[in-house]
Amino acid sequence: MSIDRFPAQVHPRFSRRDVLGKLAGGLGLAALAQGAPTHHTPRAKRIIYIVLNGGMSQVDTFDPKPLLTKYNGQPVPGGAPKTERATGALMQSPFRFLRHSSCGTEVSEIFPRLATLMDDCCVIRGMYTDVPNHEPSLFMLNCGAIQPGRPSLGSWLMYGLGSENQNLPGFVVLCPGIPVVGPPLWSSAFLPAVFQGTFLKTETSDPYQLIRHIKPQSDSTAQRRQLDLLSRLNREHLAARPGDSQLEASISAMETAFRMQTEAPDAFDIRKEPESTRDRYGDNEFGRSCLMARRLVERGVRMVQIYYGNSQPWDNHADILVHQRLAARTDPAVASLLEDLKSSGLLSDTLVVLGTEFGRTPAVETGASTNVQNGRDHNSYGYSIVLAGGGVKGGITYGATDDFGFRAVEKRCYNHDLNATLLHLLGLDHTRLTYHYSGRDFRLTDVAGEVVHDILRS
Amino acid sequence: MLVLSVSKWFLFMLSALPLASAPPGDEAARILTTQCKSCHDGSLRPAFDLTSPQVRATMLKAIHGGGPGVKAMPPGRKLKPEHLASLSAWIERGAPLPGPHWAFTPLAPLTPGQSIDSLIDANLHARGIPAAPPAGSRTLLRRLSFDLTGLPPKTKPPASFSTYIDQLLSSPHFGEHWGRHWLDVARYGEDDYSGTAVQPYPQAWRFRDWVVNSFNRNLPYNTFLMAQIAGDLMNDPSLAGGTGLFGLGPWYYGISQPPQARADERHDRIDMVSRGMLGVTLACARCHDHKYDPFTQKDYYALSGVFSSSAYKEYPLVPETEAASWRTRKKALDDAEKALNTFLTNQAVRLRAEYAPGLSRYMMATLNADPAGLNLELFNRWCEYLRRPEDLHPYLKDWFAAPSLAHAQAFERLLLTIDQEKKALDEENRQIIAAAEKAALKPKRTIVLPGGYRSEEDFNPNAGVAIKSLPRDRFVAWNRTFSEGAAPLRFPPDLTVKFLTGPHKDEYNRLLATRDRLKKELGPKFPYFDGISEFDPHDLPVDLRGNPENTGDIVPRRFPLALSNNLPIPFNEGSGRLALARTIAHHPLAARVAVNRIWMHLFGAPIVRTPSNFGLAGERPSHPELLEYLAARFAASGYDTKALIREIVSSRAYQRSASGDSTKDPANLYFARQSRKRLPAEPLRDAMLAASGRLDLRTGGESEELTPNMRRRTLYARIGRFEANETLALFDAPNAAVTCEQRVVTNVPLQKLFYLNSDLVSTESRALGEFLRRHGLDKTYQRLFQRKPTPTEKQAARDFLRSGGAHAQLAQVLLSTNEFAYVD
Repeated sequence: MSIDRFPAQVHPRFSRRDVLGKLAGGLGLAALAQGAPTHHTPRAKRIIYIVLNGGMSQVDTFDPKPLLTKYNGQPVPGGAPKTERATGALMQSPFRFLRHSSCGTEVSEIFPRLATLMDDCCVIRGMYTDVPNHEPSLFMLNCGAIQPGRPSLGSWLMYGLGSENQNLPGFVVLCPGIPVVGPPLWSSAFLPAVFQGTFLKTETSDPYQLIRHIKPQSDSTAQRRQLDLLSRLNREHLAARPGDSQLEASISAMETAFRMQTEAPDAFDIRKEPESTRDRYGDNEFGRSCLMARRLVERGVRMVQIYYGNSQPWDNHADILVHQRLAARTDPAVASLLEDLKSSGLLSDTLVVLGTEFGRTPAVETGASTNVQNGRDHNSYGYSIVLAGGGVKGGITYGATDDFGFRAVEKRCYNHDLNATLLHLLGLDHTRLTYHYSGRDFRLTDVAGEVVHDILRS
Repeated sequence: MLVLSVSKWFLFMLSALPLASAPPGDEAARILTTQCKSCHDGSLRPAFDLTSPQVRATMLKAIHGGGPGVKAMPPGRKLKPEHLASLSAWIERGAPLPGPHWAFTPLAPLTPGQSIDSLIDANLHARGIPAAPPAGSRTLLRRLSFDLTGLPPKTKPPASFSTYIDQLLSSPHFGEHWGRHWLDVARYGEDDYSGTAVQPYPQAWRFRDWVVNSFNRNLPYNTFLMAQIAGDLMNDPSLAGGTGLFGLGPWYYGISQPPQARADERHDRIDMVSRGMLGVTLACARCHDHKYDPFTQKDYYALSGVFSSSAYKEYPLVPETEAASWRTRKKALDDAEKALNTFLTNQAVRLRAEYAPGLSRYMMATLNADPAGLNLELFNRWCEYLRRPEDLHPYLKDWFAAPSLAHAQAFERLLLTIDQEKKALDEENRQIIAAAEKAALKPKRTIVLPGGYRSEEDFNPNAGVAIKSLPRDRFVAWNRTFSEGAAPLRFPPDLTVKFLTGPHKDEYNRLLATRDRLKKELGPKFPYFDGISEFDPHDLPVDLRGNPENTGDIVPRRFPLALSNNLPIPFNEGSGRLALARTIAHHPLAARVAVNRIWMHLFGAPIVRTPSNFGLAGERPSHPELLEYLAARFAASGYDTKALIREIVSSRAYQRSASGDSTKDPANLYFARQSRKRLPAEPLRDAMLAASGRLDLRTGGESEELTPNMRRRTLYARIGRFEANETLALFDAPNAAVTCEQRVVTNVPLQKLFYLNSDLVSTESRALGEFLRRHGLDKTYQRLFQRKPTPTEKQAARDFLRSGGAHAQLAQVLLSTNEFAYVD
């Protein structure tokens, strides 16, 4: 029985034992790849999730607040909500806002190219989360809980959908080094370990250094000879144990691995892109990550997650002007990614998320742990993220924060709502994508989450 | 008339009657619990009087689609036909109160004449499932060796299997293999993290060895559990090491606000004790009463208080004087380090004050690249500084537009002024902070975590105190010149040292010599183990909706009521850990959970297929009598693990072939045959090293990184919580952050890439290839598979070598075969 023709019967609604049995039977990522049935027709087949880690300030990027400028230097009316550190007066954004798309969505001048692409983007301005600390909020963003120990979005997608390409890992995480929290953010927790993210440090662009065990240790003739012998021995072994699907699957998996050796390095090798393309994205780690993400989704990788940088670069407590330096790398890379996906037609079924773990306070931070007061504290009460492609309406904004950008007040969107919506776009019902573990049906959105239907393309 | 709210009714039905094999009420309870209880929790709906025929008629109508005046239940969906049938039958029989939940009842006494085989065979007979024939002796040899020690067998067949079993059980490798099974449950890891800072536990391996030794010396299982909860309180030094179960965390350091982080740690402890030892999901009752099981939120916090009254403790394994002496030396070194740093910081301030006036001369000198009369090091830094485009502060615009002495001097004057302003502000802020700290003075509960990490109530001390700062541009100018990484007038320690002369230099050398001497004298840290101890006994309040910042009533420490027949077992002596340990050690659940796990490891599948959940939502045992028999035998033997394993592996059921007829029971639910098991990550690698002859079988001791150079058993590879070892994870080793119920087995191409291209397999293949070249195929097959190659296998190998394949490549193929990785 060939894996390629194996009827894909694994379905999120199937019991855990079914899924595990099929995994042990080698169905795993490979046969899950063959279009595992979704709950409804998916709008997106794959997702690129960019995390501007550290906390992107909404009032300096995608949520313009004229009143913040007007009342610059004045105390927050009614007092500021409690955040991690002391904050003082309202502080206007040092950046102008541009209206460079026909939809009229305003974007900060630090994203000049993204500002021209807003017709393809939906800005969710009413995001909020629970805790104004990085670790719990990063766990919430990825795993739908503030503590460690739950599977990540990518792992859930692998479990629910598998990969479109059995010769590549289906869930890839890119970062120059390690973001705050690190590997637990792409953990599969209690889902099978094969669903965890494949983490690649993009400080190198040599594909053989990026993926473990992908570089053939002998030439392909010698390897083919070995595989033929192996197949002979395994078939003789199988003949005495007829019908054991684990053993059959193991034989097929080896053939798949053999093919991966040629396909995978090619996918990760951005040196195969013309220099002009690499320049457009920016010859830096974030630019390279975005370009690699494009190559990977072109080859059917289900989810690519990109962390902007090591630790938490967007955590600008002291000086919000640093956002400008970070945006200077973000803008060309994300804009090029969107442009390329659009021109190849992939954007229609590829969902791009430009997210962050929380926003920043419109009030200036004054606490004793920073030595200059031109920055903003963490703000879990309101922030913005951007979605594009994959069945999301372009040219719209959704929800709103208050006059100064502190709290989400209109059409509020919690992290569970966002995750419910992302799963919905990928064809999965977040209430039915469950995994029975230790006597309970777990899901990414715990017991909450509402799909935000208003932002879906009809 | 019996009138009960549904929630009370649930509690009642779970607490009274003796065990029977799946009574009808038991099934009804399960259906009501999983299908109805989420709404009918006693607060949202009125109580039902189940003795009333009208009420029963209404219920019956409701589950059959409703009718006039009766809503269809459950709303919006239908019960499964089999659920509908058994619920209807139960209601029609008058809805008799079902027995208590089977798993929470006392162990039934042993029935004479029962045995594993009588119970299994009776079941097979009743279902008409044919039993598989006995396995051949080679198969049994491999199976026993891998199942009992995780190692391949010696090639010589044993004189008798009964002596062979005894040999394996008394081998030191038995404890290594079975200890690893427990370490999965114990979420054993050798580090934790905060942000991206990894907090290693360098002597964590002592707990691993304690577990291994406990299995080897056949420590009674209930004592084994007790020691891990309260080994420090049992007056037996050999048991104290068990407290590593909690001493090694997980600790969450600064992952979130301290009250949250500490509450999350206690949550882990509750999960470990309840799921890991008792097979119940008490951790689900953190924010609300349990949805399925009769556990209240109070039960959760009653147990949480026990762990809040215990704290991390480092236990020296040397006399206290020796430990104290090391700590004194360490303190002296820390002080010397601090003195050296303070000296250098002061010198840096002095140097800055010396070189800041006159900085305009350096600026001018950069124009014609002439450092005459200037310090060359500083000159180079100024060149570098002024070469960088001025992007974020405005004070050098004039200079860049038209460099001149006037502009340089203006810049110098400005910087000196700002520096004075900064000094004044720093002093003012120091006073603000001191005043705030004084005002906030209140008794704080300080908890010390491993590594001396102190956790107070504050997350980021003083971050909430508002201070004053320079205007942003002035700060940036100051920072760029004096403070940040490449600032020309920043004097980091290595640069400061270069500037020291005369008495300053002498003083530096003296401080440095002292530091170096103390460092040399310190020596490695004394041996110790990570454990817990008693700490400030107190009860905890309920965290409303699980929020530790919003608390309700205080709950006295005690055992969950539903597990003690609703009679409170108070935990008020010290932390209550010892009482908790005793209660668990004699609880029937502990025995049931243990025997089920042992069965799972030997048969490839447990009897209760949710091995860490024996609650209402867990699976029912496939063989209730067998589970009871095993648990009762286990308890009666004084929790003798080896005896139980011996009994199981000596049974006909265990010794059957894995290739029996599977038509009647494809999933092998009834154990008519053995399971074919893929070797888990550890035995798989161990077997490869054994095959190549490179396996180092020494037991115990420090962990090492799992690299191709490592030759010891995989058990001794370091286990990370921050970053899992990729090779182990590839072959399904569990995540060390949370107790593992059961390993899953996956079979994916990425694993095959490991066989094709990993350094590890290639190293072992070379070594095995050499053996193959010297000793031939027959001996190699004996070593790997305990048999001779068949004629076709011989032919295939000959063809391979003749067509240019190397011995190492042939060896690699043999290591990659299914026969190598799967045990029949």
